[in-house]
Amino acid sequence: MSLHGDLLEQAAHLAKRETKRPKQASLRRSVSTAYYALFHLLVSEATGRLLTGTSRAHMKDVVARAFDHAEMNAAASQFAKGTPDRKVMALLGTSVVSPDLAAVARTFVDLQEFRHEADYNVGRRFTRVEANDKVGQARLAFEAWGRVRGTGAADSFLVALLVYRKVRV
Amino acid sequence: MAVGVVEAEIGRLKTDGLLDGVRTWRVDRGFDAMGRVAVWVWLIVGPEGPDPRRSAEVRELVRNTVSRSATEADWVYVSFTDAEGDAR
Repeated sequence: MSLHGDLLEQAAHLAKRETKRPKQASLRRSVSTAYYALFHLLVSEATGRLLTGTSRAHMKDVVARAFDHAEMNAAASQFAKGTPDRKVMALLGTSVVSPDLAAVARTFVDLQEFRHEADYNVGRRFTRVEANDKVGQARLAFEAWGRVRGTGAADSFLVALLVYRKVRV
Repeated sequence: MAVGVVEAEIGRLKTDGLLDGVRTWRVDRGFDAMGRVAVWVWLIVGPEGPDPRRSAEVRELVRNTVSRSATEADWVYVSFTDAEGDAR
């Protein structure tokens, strides 16, 4: 299976790991891993669209490391809005973002915020319900991505995740 | 934007029967990790979790409703949790 697929499966496993009293460590890693599953799905899709062929594999690995969480968040938050800014409109060629693409973008922003909480806010308690909720959000985003991948709009989203702040309009 | 306004809006959704399985809710506001003004809504359900067939729909309903009432918030986060959870 792919890295992102494995991460999603691992996130679900961690959310269910202790049947009686889940450890905070398991729930936190579950929430964090749900984010990274979506992160790696999108990075993999972006590098796969940009660089094709096995001879480009080494380039994919290098480009994958150029993705920046904050830049991706800034781009995704624009796609998630009903009214994207001029940069996004320039990439999309329209002001309309499909519901599935907007859902993927929204989920990315949501999960990244909770990833921060899970990894750094030790004063907060997570519940199994909450961890399952985040895994469920990631799973739905995977499904939504499957419905839009390969479209021009999806490609513009992938480009924005990499270079949003550098787009000039 | 007062947290009470947001709580009242969610209360209206509950009264209208649109939040099946949601027992109560908590609302908080502040800055998110990106520095945006944000509102967090926790929908508190039973230990079995939300109805998986409806959770996405409920989340978006609450998000859209709160976005309209909290116009100065840049982002609205909606999560399901149960009574064991803490707010931020």
